[in-house]
Amino acid sequence: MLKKIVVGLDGSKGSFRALEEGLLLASLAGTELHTISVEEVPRFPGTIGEVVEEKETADTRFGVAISKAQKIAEERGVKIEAHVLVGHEVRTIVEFVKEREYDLLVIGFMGHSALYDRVMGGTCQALVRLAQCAVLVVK
Amino acid sequence: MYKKILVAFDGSEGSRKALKRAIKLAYCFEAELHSMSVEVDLPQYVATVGEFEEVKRQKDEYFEQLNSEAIELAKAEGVTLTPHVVAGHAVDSIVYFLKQGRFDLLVTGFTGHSRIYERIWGGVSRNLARFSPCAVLIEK
Repeated sequence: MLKKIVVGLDGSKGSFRALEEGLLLASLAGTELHTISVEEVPRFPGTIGEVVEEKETADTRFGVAISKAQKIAEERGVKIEAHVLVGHEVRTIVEFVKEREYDLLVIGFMGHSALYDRVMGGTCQALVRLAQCAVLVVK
Repeated sequence: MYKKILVAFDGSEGSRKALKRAIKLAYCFEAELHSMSVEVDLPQYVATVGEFEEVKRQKDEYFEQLNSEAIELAKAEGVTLTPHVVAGHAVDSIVYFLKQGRFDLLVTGFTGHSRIYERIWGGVSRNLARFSPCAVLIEK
């Protein structure tokens, strides 16, 4: 049923709530949990160097969130594998899910833009629409 | 931890997939499984009560049949499904039911009966994701 689960981890509180749910599901399914973090590439990169630099920054920026996630996973007894990619957030995740054939994508209702309580995040909406697997939206 | 799961069930292909997923999850979590079917589009302008009652009866029969099949499907997987049918506004009724029943997970399809908009996320499904008090799993 649920063999491959991936959590969208952008470091926000919402994504950590999604992580907790993902860990729960993974431990019940007896599988490992994957996380995907995407750093948006500069809109019009001038050189490949800019993209590479962005990736290095992303690795650092997400490094904090990922080590926190790994600690939580360890406490729950679940093996976790983190992925960091650079690109357009939605497109990258959708392609990643398709490529790796995940069964379930777990995401927060709201990411970093916690402006309004009831307004569903733009990324969340787009991912539910476009991801080629079931999506669990965590509140 | 999911102890009480609700699946939005309108008999569409999308909701059947959601039902199958919900059954499996209920089994895994040993959770209570309920389904909610909302009778929408009951006639607003009728000449006689009989007209209204006729439409209601048809919808009641439709969901009764659907729900007995659903119960059997769940039973085959060792899960007890408790179906519920109400008349009203789909999103409103389901969200209200989720809050009243303190459900911790809603499972819904991506689209319902609307065949035209197959690639577009269905209105009811989207609004359920927005207004649900608990986590929502959108099955594809």
